[in-house]
Amino acid sequence: MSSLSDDSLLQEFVAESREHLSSIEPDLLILEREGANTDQEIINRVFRAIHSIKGASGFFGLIALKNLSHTMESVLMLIRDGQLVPTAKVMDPLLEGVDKLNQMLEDIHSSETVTYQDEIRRLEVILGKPPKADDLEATDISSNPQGLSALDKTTIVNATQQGQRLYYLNVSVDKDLTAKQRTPLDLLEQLISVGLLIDSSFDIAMFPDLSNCLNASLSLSILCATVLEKDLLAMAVDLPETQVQEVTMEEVLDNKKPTWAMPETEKQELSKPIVQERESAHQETKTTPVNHSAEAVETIRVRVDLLNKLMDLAGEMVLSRNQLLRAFAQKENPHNGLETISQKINLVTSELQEHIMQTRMQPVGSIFGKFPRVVRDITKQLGKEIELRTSGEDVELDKSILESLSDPLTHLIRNCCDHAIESPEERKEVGKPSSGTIFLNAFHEGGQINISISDDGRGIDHARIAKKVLENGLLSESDLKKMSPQEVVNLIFLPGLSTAEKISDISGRGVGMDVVKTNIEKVGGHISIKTQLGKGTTILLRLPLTLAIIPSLIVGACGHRFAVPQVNLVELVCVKAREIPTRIEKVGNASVLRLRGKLLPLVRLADVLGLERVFFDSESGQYHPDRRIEIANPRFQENTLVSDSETLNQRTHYSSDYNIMVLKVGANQYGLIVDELFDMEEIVVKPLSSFIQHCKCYAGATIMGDGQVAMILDAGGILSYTKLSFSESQAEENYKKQLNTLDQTTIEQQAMLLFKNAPDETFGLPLSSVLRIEKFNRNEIEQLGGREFLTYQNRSIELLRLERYLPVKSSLNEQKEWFLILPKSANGRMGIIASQIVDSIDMQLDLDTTVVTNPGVIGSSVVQGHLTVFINPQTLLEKHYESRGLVHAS
Amino acid sequence: MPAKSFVSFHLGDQLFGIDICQVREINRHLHLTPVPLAPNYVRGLVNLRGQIITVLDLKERLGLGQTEMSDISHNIILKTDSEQGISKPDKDSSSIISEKVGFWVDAIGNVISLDTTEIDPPPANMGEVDGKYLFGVVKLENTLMSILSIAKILNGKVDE
Amino acid sequence: MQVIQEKEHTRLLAEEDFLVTNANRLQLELIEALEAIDNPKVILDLTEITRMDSIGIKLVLGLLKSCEQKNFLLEVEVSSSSILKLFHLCKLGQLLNIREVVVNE
Repeated sequence: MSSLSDDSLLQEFVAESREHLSSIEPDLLILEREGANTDQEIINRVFRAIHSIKGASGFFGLIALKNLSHTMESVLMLIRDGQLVPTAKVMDPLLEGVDKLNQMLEDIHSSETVTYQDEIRRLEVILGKPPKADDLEATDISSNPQGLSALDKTTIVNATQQGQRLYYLNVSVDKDLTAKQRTPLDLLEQLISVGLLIDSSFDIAMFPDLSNCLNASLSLSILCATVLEKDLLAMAVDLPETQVQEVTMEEVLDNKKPTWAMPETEKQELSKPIVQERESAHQETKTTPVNHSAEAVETIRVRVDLLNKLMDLAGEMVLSRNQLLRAFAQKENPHNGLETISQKINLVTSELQEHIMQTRMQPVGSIFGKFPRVVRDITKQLGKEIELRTSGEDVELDKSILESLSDPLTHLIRNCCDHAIESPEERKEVGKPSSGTIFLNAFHEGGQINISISDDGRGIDHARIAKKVLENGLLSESDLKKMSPQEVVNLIFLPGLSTAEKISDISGRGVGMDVVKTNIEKVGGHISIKTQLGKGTTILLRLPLTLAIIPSLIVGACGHRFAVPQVNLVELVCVKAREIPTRIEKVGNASVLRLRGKLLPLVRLADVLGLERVFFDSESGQYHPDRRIEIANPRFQENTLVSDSETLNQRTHYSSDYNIMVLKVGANQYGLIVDELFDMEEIVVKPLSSFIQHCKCYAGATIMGDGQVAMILDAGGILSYTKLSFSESQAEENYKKQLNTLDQTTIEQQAMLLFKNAPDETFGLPLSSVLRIEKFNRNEIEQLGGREFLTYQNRSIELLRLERYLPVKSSLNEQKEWFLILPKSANGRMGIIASQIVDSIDMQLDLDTTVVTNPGVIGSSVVQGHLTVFINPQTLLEKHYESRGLVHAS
Repeated sequence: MPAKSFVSFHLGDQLFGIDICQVREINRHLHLTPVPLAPNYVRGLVNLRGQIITVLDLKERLGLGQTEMSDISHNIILKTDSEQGISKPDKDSSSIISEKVGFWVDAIGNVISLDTTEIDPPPANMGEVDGKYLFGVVKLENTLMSILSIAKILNGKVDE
Repeated sequence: MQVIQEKEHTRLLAEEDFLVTNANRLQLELIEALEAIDNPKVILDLTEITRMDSIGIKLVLGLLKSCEQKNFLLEVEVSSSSILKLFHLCKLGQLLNIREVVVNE
């Protein structure tokens, strides 16, 4: 029976044991914290988990695992029986034991080679007496007095694997057989016809001798495996349901039998199962399966590839369903009744797809569970006092996202312990409790999952970040000056920035927040940070529910369509044909776009993919070859003879404008020129065929809404494929900066958005601070408690009127169509009302700061012949939040 | 006698055959999405009921030039190994279709049943086709049919 | 019930089926037989009967208990396939020694 050969069984055991261990760890930490006051149920839980590892490892003949878990079990037994108070001293060896068991499970085939004598010794010190050599064996034998044979065990394991359920039946000979005029054989044969009889026994421990035997009650307990549900099984063998108990494989292998709730009259006479009796001597409580199932919903293991296959099939079904619906829509007189059937299929399909998607969801608790241990270990190492509180463990996320979240979260928690939380002395000095707190919280919001990590530590000092950034030469001083404190704090996501004064082995190895950020963004997530010096920091992760579906922009080049994941997309820039000569330049061999004072390397998608360039003539509705060779200055690159009128037409035509997608790859950004921009679509990512895997420009393929296949572009792959060089453009940029500093005045061009509120007053704000602009109708405004809201894409956006915070005229009310300017800092929750968008221009900011001096105003200038007031949206927002008594949560 | 059925098809004026067990379906009129930068024998991707199939131009793959789209050109979709129920490799060619692939061919012929003993080993060259892509050759009434080795055709990517 | 003293054991030969209908009589006969035995090994010979119900099982188990009290070793001989099957399915073999006896008739 102890064969390492049966790998699938063994793998099952490994997976289950790991689950046990991961549940043990947090429980041990609770034990340590609560000491003698710990809930008995928690102690029992730990005990049971270790016990089943011991039992099963014995079954597989894994001596090392068995011995170590046995010794741990002995210690736990003392704790359970109240003979030992669980202190840190006791917990350390237990936790080390857990680590060691994990290590053994890591590579089960070499588990025997792992040394564990030290762990055993430390545990034995707690036990107070070195156990005798034969102690191990003795216990095991006694725990299995009339245990199942190896053959039975194999039967059990096989049956369970085939999806059968295990049940204990308790048959009262009088009530269930004699009274019903059945012989035991009748019952057993009924049972055999619906399942597998594994074991049965009469409980004769209390059975009287011949003289009293006829009237004494006698019960037969049966262990069987069947695919039937409990109620059906009870019906099939004609037993009351209360006498049928479902049990798990572990419980059976552990020889744990259920306690039966017997009617009073029978209770006295009926003997309990022998095993139960022995355990009650240890005050073992509540190991009945009933109790078990009350805690957790039943689960089974399913292979992930099977789930993926199901997901594919569901997708296929959705498509067929769509075709079916279309076919019906085209038919004038659908066949009687068929329509309702198709409607039903429609409903079922949608629901099926939804549920199949759900099978990949797992609670975040599965990764939260490991952090208490992480925090505990670091706390000890650093001599700090930190409490980790978690909530929202049951929030569910796609398995693959969850897996890729584990490392970044660990890093963030470690960072928190290492840097954010002060030492107890330091905390007392500033009047905080000596113990710091980290809150780890998961919650749903707007179709996304948020995970926040908050601490009550020292907060992030933006001055220190700035200093660090300067030291590492990541940004210039003038760059930093232009930044708000919040923007400076965000610089901790820059690669190569570690702010730890001294490098510890816990965090601060120079790779840090940038890696976290990249990892989070890889799964389509977003990370933001909010800090208050001296009070604490909150890091917020926003994650999509599932990885398989990503929002993407569909773009066109030369008649081909491609999907670009939104994660990579920073912004879209349209350069008008007439602006091309002034905004696009050549630096070395590369074309660059001048964008808000920075140079952005440009590349044409058509060139990257080696497509014949075409431009779309909207008049003729046809594609024509595009003769522009160079991105910059297309006019002078015409080699072919073209008539003047055609050139003119081409240059001024709409399609001669450049649609530039600004894409980011890590810290780099570049512009990708595409011919057409289509809609945003939620696409399902499918892997690339091996025939095109070497094309680094693609991240995968997808089926779009119209059923056609499109390739998904890989922003990073394109970058490395085109070998775009940032050094040249950066050198150029630096050179220009030097020129500027020589001038002593920062005459930098900045893109400004000009708009009006009242018809005769013009305002300006930096375009870089604008997230987007929306048009809306006056009647869409909703009033709530003196505040105004607009609902856009299921989100409420609060409206901010300039006249409330600045001494300016209010807008006229009769206008129907309005604009809403959404500043980036408001995260799409707040927008500034504008009656008219005037223009967006590149200008040198040369502001007069004396004319208008209100907070929220940067200064004023005469632009296009009008006095224009330049505002700082951030300040206005803060004023707005203050007036609402809200803390600005960006 | 071990009999086997083969789907026959034309590439130019040559007749080829594929074991019918390896064919999932034959279709046409699918919207093909070309893949820029892919090898030229990759004709593009199609959506077959929610599955993305890579369509290879078999003629191009065998070095016979490009297949023109025509009224009679067809797409032969192969079964993957798992669809064929193959779990472990056998020495025959068939255990390598790990992904969904289709062959674009000039025209589809009949299904031909043969006695496998009639299959002769391939010559070094069969017309312009390198013998390494062939599993064998069969004499039919008035022509020869070359039976393709799917393994060589799909896995020969490396030795390009 | 026939009590046969053999060389090394006492054989209790059951002549009627172990059923609820005659259980009381069988009980008395068994008690009586057991009192008279001083041989440490007792064989319950069920080779001549073919049926046993739940009360019958109680009798067998009661006999087992009584034998244990007296430190007798109990063996059961069975020929009937249905009784054999019953004993097998109930795993009675874990509690007492069961021997299958082939009767040639």
